[in-house]
Amino acid sequence: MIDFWNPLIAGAVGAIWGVGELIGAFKNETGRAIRMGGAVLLIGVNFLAALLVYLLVAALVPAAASWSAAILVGLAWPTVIRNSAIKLAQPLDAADAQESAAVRFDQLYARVQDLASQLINGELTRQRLTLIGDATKLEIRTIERYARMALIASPLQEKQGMPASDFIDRILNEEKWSNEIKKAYLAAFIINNFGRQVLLDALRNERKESAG
Amino acid sequence: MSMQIGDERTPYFLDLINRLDETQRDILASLRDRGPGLAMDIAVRVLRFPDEIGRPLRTLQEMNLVRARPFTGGQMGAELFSLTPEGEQVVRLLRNPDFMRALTNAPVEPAAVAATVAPAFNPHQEEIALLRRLGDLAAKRGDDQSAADYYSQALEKTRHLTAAS
Repeated sequence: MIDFWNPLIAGAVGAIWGVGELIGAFKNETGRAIRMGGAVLLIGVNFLAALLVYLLVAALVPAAASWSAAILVGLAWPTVIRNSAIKLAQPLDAADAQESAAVRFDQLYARVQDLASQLINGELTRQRLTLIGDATKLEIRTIERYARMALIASPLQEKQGMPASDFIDRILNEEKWSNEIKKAYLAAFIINNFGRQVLLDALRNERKESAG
Repeated sequence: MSMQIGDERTPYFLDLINRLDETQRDILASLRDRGPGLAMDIAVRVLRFPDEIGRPLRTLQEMNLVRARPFTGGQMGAELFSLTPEGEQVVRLLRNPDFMRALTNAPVEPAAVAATVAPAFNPHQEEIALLRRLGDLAAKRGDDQSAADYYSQALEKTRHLTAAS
């Protein structure tokens, strides 16, 4: 008899693997990334796969129906499934054997990872664009001030002889661009080089000031 | 896909990295450190304007170091750029002091020496060499059809050049 909690323990340990992967892949924005649909997909797949593997193991080996085996399965499933393939046929000819039908779990899992990261990256980019759109409602001098202040607090490395302060000047002096475009670029400069919190704080401060 | 110095792929990566300019290296490093982004994101990370990074980005795509995926829902770019596994490998190598030492100490190939003392620049021969390189890259990523197309174009141009001389 399989205990109700054991499969959940295996699934939970599997889900922790999924969270670990997200932390590794989205070091800069882990908190945000983990709340997105792509993250739910990846963590869910890890949870369900570990749970199903445990149920299979417990059904085949009744002695393994224990909480310690559940933890072990949760810990071990990634190494087993992500590196395995089930060959559906084994032709005699070596060349044909390479092309033969097989269920490659590592490739399946890689596709799930790819889909999850695509969803998360798309969502993070959309969030950045929304924030940039909000920032363009501010005065250009205000955004410039925050960009220069961020630069003082955390100077950027020179790129090909150009200090970052010169880059801000270049944006402001670009004749082909409207003020809206310049504001969008300054906002993008802040978000991409100093993090979105700097721009969020700027927006909050300006709202407070205008309300006051 | 980790790689050690002395690995059989080392010469391939040495050649690849040698062909990258400073902007391309900055773009790769920014994609690694700050994640995928639109052209605008990448431009501001490397302190450039978008029209200045368009060509380097396309070249990186042709070298299979960067990939572009369609992005909907944004007025500021329709493509989201990210590193390919090979691009990730290149950034790791760029940050590997041993590899970079190997890069600076790499002996100059006789062909390269000959090229430096060559009397004049021949655009046709350059084009043929470039087509061959693109063919090699396509073959390395398993795209046999594109590789065959590049090699055929190179062959065609070589024949024209031979006939003309």
